[in-house]
Amino acid sequence: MAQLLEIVPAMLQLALWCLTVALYFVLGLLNRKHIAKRWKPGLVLSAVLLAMLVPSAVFGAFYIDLSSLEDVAYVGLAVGLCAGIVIQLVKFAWNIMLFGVAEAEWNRTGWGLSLSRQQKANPT
Amino acid sequence: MVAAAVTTAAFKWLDVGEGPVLVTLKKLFPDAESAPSFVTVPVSCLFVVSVAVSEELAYRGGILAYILRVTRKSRTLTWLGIILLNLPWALAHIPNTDNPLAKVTQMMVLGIVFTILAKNRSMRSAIAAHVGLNLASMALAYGFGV
Repeated sequence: MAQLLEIVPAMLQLALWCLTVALYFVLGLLNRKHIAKRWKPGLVLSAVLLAMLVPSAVFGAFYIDLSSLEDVAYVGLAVGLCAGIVIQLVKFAWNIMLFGVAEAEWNRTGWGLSLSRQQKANPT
Repeated sequence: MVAAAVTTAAFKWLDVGEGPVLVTLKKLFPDAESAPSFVTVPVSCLFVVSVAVSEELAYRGGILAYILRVTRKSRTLTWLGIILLNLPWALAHIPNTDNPLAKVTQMMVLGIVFTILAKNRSMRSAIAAHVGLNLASMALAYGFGV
């Protein structure tokens, strides 16, 4: 039981990550026209971020100690790590939407408080 | 840099240790710490930078802009939205230390600072600040072992 409790924080992280994905999915649906038009910058950003994570995956694969997987908690964590790799691949697609949503929303907001400054500069 | 130094000093003073995720990762990768620094430092740099960009896009990106748009008429609601937005980000960092309260407090303060930067300046400022913080924390960890 105590060993299973060790993986609870990782589960919490996963749940919160799923919550942000769900929020972005809703915002992505609301901004789908903008994302359809401007998906290329998101694709480039996603490719760069994914490429940056590759060395960590190679490093991890080289140094992992599989003997510790006899422990239940480590099996849980290893499953989590495998899920993490799948999540990173999903994130590749998700980052495209994430960038698109961020850009579309910031454009709609007028980049936060700078809207009032923009309105002052261009009252029309 | 200052934020990294202040929080590191505060955590030392409060005797905050490593959290369950870091402890478990060390058990899974026992030889990683003995790896040559010319390998670990660039790999860690790439990892923390990509994580900072992803996190800023996720938490201070579209959701913050949406909150600013829908709560434009009420400053109180805007700040309530900002606090609610930063709460999941702070909670997600709990497993990094063994003192949840200290970690949540640290991340809430940092999250609100990044939010103010994104709101009043730009997303790029918040991303730059987050990348700077992560790199400074990493430099303190590698350089001084803290």
